[in-house]
Amino acid sequence: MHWINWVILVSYIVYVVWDGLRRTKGTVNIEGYFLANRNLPWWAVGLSVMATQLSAVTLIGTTGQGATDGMRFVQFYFGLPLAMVILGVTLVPFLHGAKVYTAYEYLERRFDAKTRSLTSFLFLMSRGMSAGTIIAAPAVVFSAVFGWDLTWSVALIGVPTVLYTVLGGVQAVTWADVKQMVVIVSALAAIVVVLLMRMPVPLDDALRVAGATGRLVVFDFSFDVTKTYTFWSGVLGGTFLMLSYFGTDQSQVQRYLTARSVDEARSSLLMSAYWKIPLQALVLLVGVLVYLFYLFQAPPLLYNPAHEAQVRSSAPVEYAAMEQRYVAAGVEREAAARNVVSAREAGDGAAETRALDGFRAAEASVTAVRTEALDRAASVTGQSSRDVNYIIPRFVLDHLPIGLAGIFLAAVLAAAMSSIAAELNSLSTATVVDFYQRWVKPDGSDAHLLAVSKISTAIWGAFACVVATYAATLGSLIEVVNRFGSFFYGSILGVFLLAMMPRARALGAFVGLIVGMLTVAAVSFGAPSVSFLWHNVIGAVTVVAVGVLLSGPTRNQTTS
Amino acid sequence: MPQPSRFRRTLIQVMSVQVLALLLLWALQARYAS
Repeated sequence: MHWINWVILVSYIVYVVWDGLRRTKGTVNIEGYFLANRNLPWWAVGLSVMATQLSAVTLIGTTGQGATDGMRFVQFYFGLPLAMVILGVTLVPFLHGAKVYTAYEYLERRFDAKTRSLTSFLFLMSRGMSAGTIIAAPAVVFSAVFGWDLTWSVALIGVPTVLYTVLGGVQAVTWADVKQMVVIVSALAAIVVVLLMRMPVPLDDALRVAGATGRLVVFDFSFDVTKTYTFWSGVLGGTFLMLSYFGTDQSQVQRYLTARSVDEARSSLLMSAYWKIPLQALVLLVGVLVYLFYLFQAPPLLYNPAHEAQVRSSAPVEYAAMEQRYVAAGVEREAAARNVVSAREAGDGAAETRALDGFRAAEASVTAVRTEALDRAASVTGQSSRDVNYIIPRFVLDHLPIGLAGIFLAAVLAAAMSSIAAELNSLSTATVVDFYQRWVKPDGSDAHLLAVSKISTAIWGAFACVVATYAATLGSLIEVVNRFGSFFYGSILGVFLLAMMPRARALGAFVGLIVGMLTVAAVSFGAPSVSFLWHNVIGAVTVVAVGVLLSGPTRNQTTS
Repeated sequence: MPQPSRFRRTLIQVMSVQVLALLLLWALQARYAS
């Protein structure tokens, strides 16, 4: 990579850490450290909410998904705007008005200590591991692309993030998020401009070619619970998922608890409601444009350079033959794409239909060779190739102008840092407030709790870096934890829904939570084809049903 | 809790923007993916 790109990347890291250190001043208690004294403006909180949700996987994985699978993934977010509006009138005023530090703290006021501790413990277990995987995803890509040892990639992402999160607390996290969103959106917009400028055919014709491959199919109205991305799973399952994520996950709840007032907290969530779908569509569109770019420019057979080198060295003759066939199929595909353009320009409908059929056949030949190469890479390396995650990084490094590649890599780093920082900050909050202060040191002084909070953040940061470094070895364990996490996401939402029902009681909430998790686990193992988006609906509905059933007609005596 | 009328107004505003976004995506699909 050109040295100017490195200068941009390093300058960005130094700036974020320096800014974090600058914000350590004035933080004298845990309310300042974890909640910025509940004094942040809505727009900063809103950008922080969006930055937290937008991880490096979005920039490198989702754009890659756009290049290979098209736009259909955007349906996943169809429930988000409605979820934000619902949260704005339900949980946000409850949580913000209760002046709590964690969402789970509210459950003790409403129900009892064991419901609070269990939900907080489930959060810590699931998010503790996921913080590691959030670092691992971009670190693995950086390692493969630059040929670094994984430990160095993890250090590049993890160390500055842990540093500014430990020292600056939520102030540093939020203001870093604001800058990170600016870097991310600017990088995406710049890539779109470059791709449009380099498109050798008119955009209208190019999109018609992409449409012929199904990449511009956005809506799938089939009501099939085994399909992950459909309109209905997005609207119904997605609403429950987003209600769970933004309403009960401390990494998100903590963002809007820092807002100055309930109204500002609501406004911060509405920013996502307005912008999430357009932003996600833009991310996927970048992928589609990169696919179109490679129609007219020879693409690599394998985008993952590390796997490419391994396959090439293990079977050089066979790989060279595969490459030859891939180049020939690519040339045919380009000619077929240009035929489509010519037919459209001539206004000949019949010729366009024939040209589109020819293009689809050529595309199938290209895909066949690439599938063969991916299978070979998987058998040689013994790893799932995840080649889709390397499409955008390879495009950026091979084809973007000097400077812009550095900005894009800074954006990937920014996306990773913003998500990790929010997770570390919220993990530390739950550890200190829900466990240390609640059970160990209820009368701890401000200075003592602040010191414990910083130590706790540092320990979670170190843990996340270790998990990230050994992510490949821990693969099956992480999968188990993630799967276990999916069992209780909807169920925790069910407990919060119960909390808003005056008749619900502590016993109903606790038993409901356990029954809800067991039900989702039974569905997950008994009917594995049911898409995970429906698990949240099943969990939430079961908890509410059991909770209401077990709660008597009278109001809980402990209700505050 | 916010005033019902205010909630209705917010809901209408947010959902209107979403309907517009979905219509644009629908137009993209209808024009190019048929």
